[in-house]
Amino acid sequence: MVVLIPFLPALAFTILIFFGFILKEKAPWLAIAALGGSFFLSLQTAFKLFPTGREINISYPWFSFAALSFHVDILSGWMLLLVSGVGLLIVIYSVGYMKGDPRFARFFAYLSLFCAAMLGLVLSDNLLLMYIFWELVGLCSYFLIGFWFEKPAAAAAAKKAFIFTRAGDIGFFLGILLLFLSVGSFEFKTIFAAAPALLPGLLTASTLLLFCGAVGKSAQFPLYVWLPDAMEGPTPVSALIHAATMVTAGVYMIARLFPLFELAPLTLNVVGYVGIGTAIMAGLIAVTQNDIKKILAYSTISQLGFMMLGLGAHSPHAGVFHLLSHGFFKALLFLGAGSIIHALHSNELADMGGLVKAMPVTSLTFIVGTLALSGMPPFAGFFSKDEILMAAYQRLPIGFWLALPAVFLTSFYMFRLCFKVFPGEVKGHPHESPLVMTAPLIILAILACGFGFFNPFGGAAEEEAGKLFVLFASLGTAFLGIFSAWLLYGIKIISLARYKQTLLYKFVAAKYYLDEFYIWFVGGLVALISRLLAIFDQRIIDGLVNLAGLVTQGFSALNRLFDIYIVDGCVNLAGWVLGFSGEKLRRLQTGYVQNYLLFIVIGIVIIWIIKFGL
Amino acid sequence: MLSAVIFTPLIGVLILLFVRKDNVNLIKTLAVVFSLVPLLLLIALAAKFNFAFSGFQWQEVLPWIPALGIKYHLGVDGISLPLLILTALLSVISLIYSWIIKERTKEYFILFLLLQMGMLGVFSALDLFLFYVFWEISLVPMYFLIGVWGGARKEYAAIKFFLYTLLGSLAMLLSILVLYFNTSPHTFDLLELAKIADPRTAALVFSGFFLAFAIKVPMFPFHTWLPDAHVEAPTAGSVILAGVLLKMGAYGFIRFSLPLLPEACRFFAVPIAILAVISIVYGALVSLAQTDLKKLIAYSSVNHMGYVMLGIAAGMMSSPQLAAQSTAISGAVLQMVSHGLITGGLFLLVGVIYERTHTRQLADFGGLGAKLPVFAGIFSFFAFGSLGLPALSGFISEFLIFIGTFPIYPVLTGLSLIGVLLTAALFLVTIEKMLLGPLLPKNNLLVDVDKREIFCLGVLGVLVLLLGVYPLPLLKMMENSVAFILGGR
Repeated sequence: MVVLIPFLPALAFTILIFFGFILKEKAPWLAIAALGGSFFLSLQTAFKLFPTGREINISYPWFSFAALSFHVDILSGWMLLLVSGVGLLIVIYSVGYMKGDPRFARFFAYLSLFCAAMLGLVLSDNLLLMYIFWELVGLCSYFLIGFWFEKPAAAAAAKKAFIFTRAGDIGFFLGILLLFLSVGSFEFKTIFAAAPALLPGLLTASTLLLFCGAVGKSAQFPLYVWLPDAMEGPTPVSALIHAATMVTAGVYMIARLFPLFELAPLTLNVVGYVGIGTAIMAGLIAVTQNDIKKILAYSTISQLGFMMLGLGAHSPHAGVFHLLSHGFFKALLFLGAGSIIHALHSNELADMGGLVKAMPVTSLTFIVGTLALSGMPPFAGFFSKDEILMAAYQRLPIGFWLALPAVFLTSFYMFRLCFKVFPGEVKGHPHESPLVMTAPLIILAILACGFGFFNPFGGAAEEEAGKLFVLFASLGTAFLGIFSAWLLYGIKIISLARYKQTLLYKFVAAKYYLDEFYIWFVGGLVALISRLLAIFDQRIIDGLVNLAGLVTQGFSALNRLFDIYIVDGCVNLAGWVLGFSGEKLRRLQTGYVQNYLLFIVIGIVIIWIIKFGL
Repeated sequence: MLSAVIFTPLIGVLILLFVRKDNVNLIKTLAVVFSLVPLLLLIALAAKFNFAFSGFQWQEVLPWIPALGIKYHLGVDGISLPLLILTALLSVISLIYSWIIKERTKEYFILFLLLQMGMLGVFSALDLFLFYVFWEISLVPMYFLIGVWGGARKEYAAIKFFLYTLLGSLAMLLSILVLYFNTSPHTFDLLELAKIADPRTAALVFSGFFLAFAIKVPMFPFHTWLPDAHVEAPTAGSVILAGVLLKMGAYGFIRFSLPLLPEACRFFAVPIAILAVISIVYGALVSLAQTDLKKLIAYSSVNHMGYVMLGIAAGMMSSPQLAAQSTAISGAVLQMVSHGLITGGLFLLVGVIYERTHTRQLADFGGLGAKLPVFAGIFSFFAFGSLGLPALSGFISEFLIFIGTFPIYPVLTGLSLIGVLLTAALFLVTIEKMLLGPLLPKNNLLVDVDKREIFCLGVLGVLVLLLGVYPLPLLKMMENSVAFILGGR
């Protein structure tokens, strides 16, 4: 049964990619039916699993090294719900958003495959299988980001996403090899059982390598640069990538493998600090952006950093709790942004204003999402972020103190956006989106409101030290962020415009020149080396081959001359010598008997002299 | 049975000789039929293949030149059978694709059938003299295919291909003769040849084989004949060249060097592994700088065959890690099959687009995805196969090679992973330049792939997917044979 969950959308993909041109406008219904089926099955599984806690294990033989093994526990159960549920809403929304696109059917084919790959990843119970689905998720993101491939920017963004995530995957793959070498299996259970006996150095090395994969996929420093560009894809794709599939994969992988990571404290520290560092860096960039999708993209990077902090603070449950609640409100925010873009045909904040009057449903749901993201009670983000901060306070205090500025930044950049977009004069001619688009917004808004109340992993109810302090610190900084945004962009009594000329601002607004580093330094270097090697190949290596050919040719030419003048010459010489001597010797044959007698006598005399001397 | 497999194409040649030159359709049909028979026979053989038996099956032994101990000895095992099927399959596909050949049709198809016979013979000969004969037979038709039906610099490419390979062949012949005289009574039979006791002689014999096989694979730095031959060869010639002829080199290492010269193999294992890693990284980097699509894919073959050689080099090592080593060799054989299918497909696609645009320069394409969606889909499929996407055959084979070589050469394996990233960049850049972005106006009138092309590519594509998802039957087939070769040393 459980296997059907990824299989249904995969089947929908197969049908749509080959017969989509027949189905045309009806194509989405197949995708919706398939994902709806997956969601229904996920719900069924969850209802059976959550009360009893009875985990599901399925395994089919595959080939010598790994089985097709799947596993559902509370963690993967929740992930299944998130992926199939949010996926379903996004597919429904896309029916409105993608209307009239020339490759309408193909879009739903890719969406289905994307969800199928992610659902497969969630269910995987061994590293090899997980890696395969992991790569397939990357492939789908490539196709979807580059869906409008006629735009060079979209094509480039798709390529960038694939290459950057693959760079991380090299580490991931090496980590898998290392674990396989030391454990002899890819199965999670076998690895977990064998892990305590492994050398600490080996554990640290392999978990760090695995983390490389998460850095790529979950857009952490220094590989996060692909995610902001990924918004070149259609907006529903951004929603899917940012909320349910793709970027959540890295966080999920670490949570799934947490029994292993737990044994490598050094790795966990790295995870936590990379996470919180990324959260601050991305939060700062988000403040400087003026494109609604870019702000949301950097906010995703920042929130993923929070999840990593939770993992690094030994609390996979906090990390995944935030992943789930973030999934709901980030999908909501992206779809809301899509609704605005759909109406205004612009991504720029400058073109937006007064939307609360023109697009009430979109605006209100968007504000719900903003409150959730800022961590306001009672919205979902409040509970999940609080758990992360609590865990950090206890296990990674430096991380906790670094997290406070990131909390401030989060509410600041989100309310900066809201104050610029919703109140005031109406700009342009916005109109509310059709029901097929607003209905998913409403459902997601309800989830963003209510999800926080049921902690998926049954959070610790007992009184913990510092709980109140953490609560007030995070709420206080978040309010401070909102308040500052209100002063600056709401009532506009303070202006920071003059600071835009400072070097620091320019440095942040230029995204720390990280993209430039990759393009000019890494890309340039590889291009240079490959050019040089190509010339080396042609001039030197092939040159040597041609030289060998030339030398042989020259040698054979010499040979020919030798043949003509020396070998043939010798033959001719021999002939000539014989002819010449014959000519000369012929004189002896005079025909006179007297002469012959004379020669005989002379001969006898000579022999006599030689024999007996004089 | 094996004789029938090998010599059916020859019967086809004899019949074609009596067909009138201008009866083009009959010539093509006959050629396809006679190349199809070996494929069907081989599939029948595979169905009856004894998976539990590690030796050679369906052996045929006849005295040929008894005075010199030369025998007509054929047989297949789990390593040669997949390669034989690959050979027969690619031959049929190439001949079907070659329907477009217009000049000197009769000669073309006759040469192609001769080529098929030579290749099938190479993979089933168990007598080294016979092997050498087939090896040379496969060389000649390819020389003519490049030299007559090739592109602008066809004479240069054909001669380079021929002489370079011949140089290696001669070295191999010397090595074969040393092996022959080393065994008493003198024989060329693989199963009777004795191992060489003197390490220096063994090293020399190994070097002779190495030169022949390394040129054929080709390994850095013996690879420069390949891009020239590929660029000038007609499409079907490129398919066979990349799909089958390169495999003959790697096959030679596994079939002859490994069992006959185990000591020398141990001695040369690390240098070969290093050359393999250089081929992997260097091939990918040089490929990245190419502007000609066919040359680009040719260099990517250097990269892919590098993985094969890395796997074989792991098998050559003396360390007693038999499990890892047999994984590496299985991966190498699987990679040969997979590369044959994928790169064969890619060369067909180059041919498809060349027929329409008469150019192979990347700069002349651009945005083809909008105009030729089916072509773009198929091209992307094979490109992702080539960059090792999971669920396609290239992933499984490279994965097995990495798993097998990692315990033996951890550092070199790690370095070769750079190649994986580079090939990803390579094919994504190629897709971007060719298929994505705005359509160039001059390409506005292009028509998408036709049914014949879809059939050829579809067969290869289905196999790539099948092997990628369920490689078990093929791995089972080679399991015992690989263990036999490694265990027999």
